Amino acid sequence: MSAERPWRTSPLRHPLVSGALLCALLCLVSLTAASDVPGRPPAPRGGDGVDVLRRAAHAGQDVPYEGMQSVTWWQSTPPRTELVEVVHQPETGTLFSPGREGAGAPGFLMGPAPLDAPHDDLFALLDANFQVRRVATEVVGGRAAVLVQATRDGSAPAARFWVDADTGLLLRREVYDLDGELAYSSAFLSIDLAPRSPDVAEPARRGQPWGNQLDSAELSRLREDGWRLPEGLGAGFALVEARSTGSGQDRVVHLSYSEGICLVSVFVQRGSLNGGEVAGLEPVEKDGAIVYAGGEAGPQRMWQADGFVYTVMADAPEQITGSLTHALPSPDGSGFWSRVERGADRLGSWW
Amino acid sequence: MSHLGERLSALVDGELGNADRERVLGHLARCQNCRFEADMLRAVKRRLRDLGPAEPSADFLGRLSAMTAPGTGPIDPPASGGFGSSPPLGSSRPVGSQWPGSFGRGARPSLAVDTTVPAEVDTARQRSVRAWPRWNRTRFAVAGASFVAVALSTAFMAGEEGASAPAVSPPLSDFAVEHAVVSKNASLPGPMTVPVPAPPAIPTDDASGRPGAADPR
Repeated sequence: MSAERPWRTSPLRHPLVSGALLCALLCLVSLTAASDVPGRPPAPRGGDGVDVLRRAAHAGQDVPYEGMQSVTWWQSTPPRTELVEVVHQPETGTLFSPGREGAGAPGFLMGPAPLDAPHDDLFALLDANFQVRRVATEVVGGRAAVLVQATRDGSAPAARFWVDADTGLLLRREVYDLDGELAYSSAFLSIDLAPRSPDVAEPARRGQPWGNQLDSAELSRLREDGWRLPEGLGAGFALVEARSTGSGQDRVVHLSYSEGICLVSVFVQRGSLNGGEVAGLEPVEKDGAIVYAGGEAGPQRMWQADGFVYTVMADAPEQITGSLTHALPSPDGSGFWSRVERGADRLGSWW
Repeated sequence: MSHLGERLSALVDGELGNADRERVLGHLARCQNCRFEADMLRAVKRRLRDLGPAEPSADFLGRLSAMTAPGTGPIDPPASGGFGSSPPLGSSRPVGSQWPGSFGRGARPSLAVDTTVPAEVDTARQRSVRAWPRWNRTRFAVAGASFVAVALSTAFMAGEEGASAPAVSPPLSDFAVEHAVVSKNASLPGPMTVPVPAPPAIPTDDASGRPGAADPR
């Protein structure tokens, strides 16, 4: 009997089965691509390094310091390093200035008033998505530091942190991509715990967050108006904060996603790009859809979809950022598969 | 003395509890009629079990395949027929044999199986038995392809481009500042969040020797 019905031995080869699987896959893709409801976050793993990093986060705000920091992007060609002079006073803020060759140029002041720091949310994500362990004690810049390593499932390192054993300041940090390759690092070349007061008379720019913080009710109202504002991007990245600026057609929503280590910003606004040029980004066409990509200091993406323009900026390796953008609406395109993908997105959002 | 009735079949089926079973066995030891009846029930059950699982008969498959052949199917009413004169679906009666009477006329069909099968029908039956899996596969293939086509065309239609929205130019520099401010406020701010104006780039000499020139150690 089985000889007369060969599909019984290989169900996936049967057209009906494979067709049903393909359709189920389409439905699944459309549902997951448009999912606005986060899944239940995984349980915390209780790694002994989380408390060390929590202390570092608070020390970064409460402890005054001054130092020269190097930042290196290892996956640029060739790897690129920048030097930044950092002066932090809790009551004034943090002033960042170009280091060495650019010394004397105006800097960038952040603060002083801290935002409603989402520390707890981010540490919960960190503890849920990674195994965070103290692994060693090392010396960084002449100071004893506790080395904390965050590990992905499968033991690939996701990040390593060197935390000053005395003050709790974060002295050095490395972030790795999904393959365990070093993506970028930052480290203090020197640090002084008795800093001068930052010269805030005329900094080049001042950083203040957008004032309108969105709660879940406002996000729901926007979604009902057609805005696609997912609660998660996959790979453990969850929405940790939402802000907006402007109003009416000029409104821009800023969504911040994190998995505990990297932070990804998604800016959403009504409108289209009309195929024009975008300064600093290069157009990349695929199946009639154009995505503008680039960004020296972290991956950036921009595209239009369904009457909205999406801009992504990430403090994450390029590899991770590329995988996360699939959770957002597909870019408008004239090709067959672009249209099918867009239709699947819409069907998913209607469900 | 009352006999066992339905408790006897429950005993044979093993559905009695311990107490009931003891009582029934006690009755059987005394009652020859019930003992005979129990033996008969056991024999019937044993024969039913020996029959094995039911398989579709060859003539049933033959009639199914004949439905696809033009002009040969049981859809055509038999010459002697009227309502109810064709064999019921699943009957083991071979195609082409005639009922001795008609249900509609009050005659009772014979339970005896007519084994005389015309040669051409027998050949068609064998052909249809061989063709069954292929026909079934074709049907499933058509259904699967239709399913996929419907899903793709639905997604294609739903993906129609909407009316063109007014053109905008997202202010990347403002977005970078906002991103930096929020990132700086995050628990452990990353190195890429600092939009320092045009810092000079220092190519790292040792591309493989990480962390290279910036190693503070």
